[in-house]
Amino acid sequence: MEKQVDVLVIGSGIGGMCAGAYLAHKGYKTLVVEALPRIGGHCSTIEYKGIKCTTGVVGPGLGGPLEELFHEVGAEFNVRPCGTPHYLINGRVVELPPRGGLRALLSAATGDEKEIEGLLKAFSKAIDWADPPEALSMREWLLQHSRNKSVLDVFQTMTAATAIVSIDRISAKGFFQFLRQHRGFRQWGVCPEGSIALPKALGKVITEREGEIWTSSPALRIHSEDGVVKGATISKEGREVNVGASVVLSNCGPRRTVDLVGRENLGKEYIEELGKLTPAHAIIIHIKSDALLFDLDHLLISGARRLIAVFQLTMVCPELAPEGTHYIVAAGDPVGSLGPSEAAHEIDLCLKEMRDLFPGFESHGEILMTGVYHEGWPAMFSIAGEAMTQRTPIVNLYAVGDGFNAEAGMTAMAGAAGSGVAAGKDAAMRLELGKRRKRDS
Amino acid sequence: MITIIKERCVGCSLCVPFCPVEAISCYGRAEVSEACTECLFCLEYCPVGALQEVGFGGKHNGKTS
Repeated sequence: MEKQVDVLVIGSGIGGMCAGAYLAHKGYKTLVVEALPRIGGHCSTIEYKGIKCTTGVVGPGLGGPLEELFHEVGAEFNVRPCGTPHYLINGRVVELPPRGGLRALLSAATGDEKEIEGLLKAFSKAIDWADPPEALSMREWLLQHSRNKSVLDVFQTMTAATAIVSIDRISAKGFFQFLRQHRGFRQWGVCPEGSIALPKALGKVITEREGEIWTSSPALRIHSEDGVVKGATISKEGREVNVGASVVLSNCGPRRTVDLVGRENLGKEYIEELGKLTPAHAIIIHIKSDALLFDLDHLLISGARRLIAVFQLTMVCPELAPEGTHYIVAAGDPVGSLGPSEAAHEIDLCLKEMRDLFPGFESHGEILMTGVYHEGWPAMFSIAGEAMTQRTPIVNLYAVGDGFNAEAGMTAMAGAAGSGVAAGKDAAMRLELGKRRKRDS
Repeated sequence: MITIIKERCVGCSLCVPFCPVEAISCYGRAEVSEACTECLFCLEYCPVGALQEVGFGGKHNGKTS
């Protein structure tokens, strides 16, 4: 069977859907293929025991590239804003005020005014104009200004919760680049229908413009000829479909993209670069509870060994769980490389910290799922500041997703969305050039 | 029967909700208990293709490659 489209998107994660919706909106015939029966990848929803559980994304940032794209293509951005972030520091709950947030956090961590002033000064310098040297980790940078464990813990939590990486692993330069990018939209929200509402809304844009979305349809091969992409073979309902496409965007992760294109077609250098991408790990514990554990919609935990944040999503969107029950997500940052045996141990540590911090957890909570995100299904395919560009050595083949947003230095959903939009814009430009050339000849 | 390809399973636990008889547990890595009725429903839902049916007809998993 044969099919011809302008744009083929492989993988329906939020990066792929952003690219697909952008290009469909521009008038290009778009097909999205997804190997799984549901769309959205990490930005999706699975209903389990009456709860709309997330497959990864807890909530999107507001006002970033994702929301901008939704407005541009006319997709419904049904997201309810959360309250202000609160940190648990040395047993005290500290609100992060809209202004002077860092000072508030540091004051809870240390009583040393001189230390706070020094850190704030160094911080604004690094954010505004002086990038720290490349080789310095965030922890090393911090140690130049403070030896206080509580101070380091606050930054560890901030980094792990926002950039999904520890202060040992992220470079100070990458961290400040990340902060610069994300400044102004630390506001985030929750989808009342679950995260799947977002890829669904983008999918609607695609199908309303004569595009299609095929689920349970894995790609088998991506075809290229003389270094130019030609399309892909897709498995659909037990049959192989050859899809010809002017542009192919791969949103199925670096490793799988290489498998689909063939190592020999991408070149040694590019594959080596892909190999350097460091995935971010995460532990996500899904909890059904008949009582709230604290009276905030989310709390960032400072000073714990693994636990980073607890989100009480039904406080924002009661629709996610049956009446009288709550959906709570605990997120942890596992240390080091996660093998299967360490994974269970890391979950144990997270759960122990949950029990220690929240007395109601054991008596009210039921653990629905304990998810470890790493290896082939990481929290992100690259940590902040180390992602790659969307273009590949194959002309008109793009890689999109959170591993491919080098220009913007953003992470997670904003990174994935940003990569999709950037690749979509680049592809639209090339498609337009192609059209003009055809007209002229 | 359904088996887990250990090298592929990451322990994300996203297969757990799809088993109608709750035969899959996941704590660091997925495991299938004897309660499995081989309905094969779970195969499609693993994001990394780590679930596999091993039967008389040979091997088959949710992902074709």
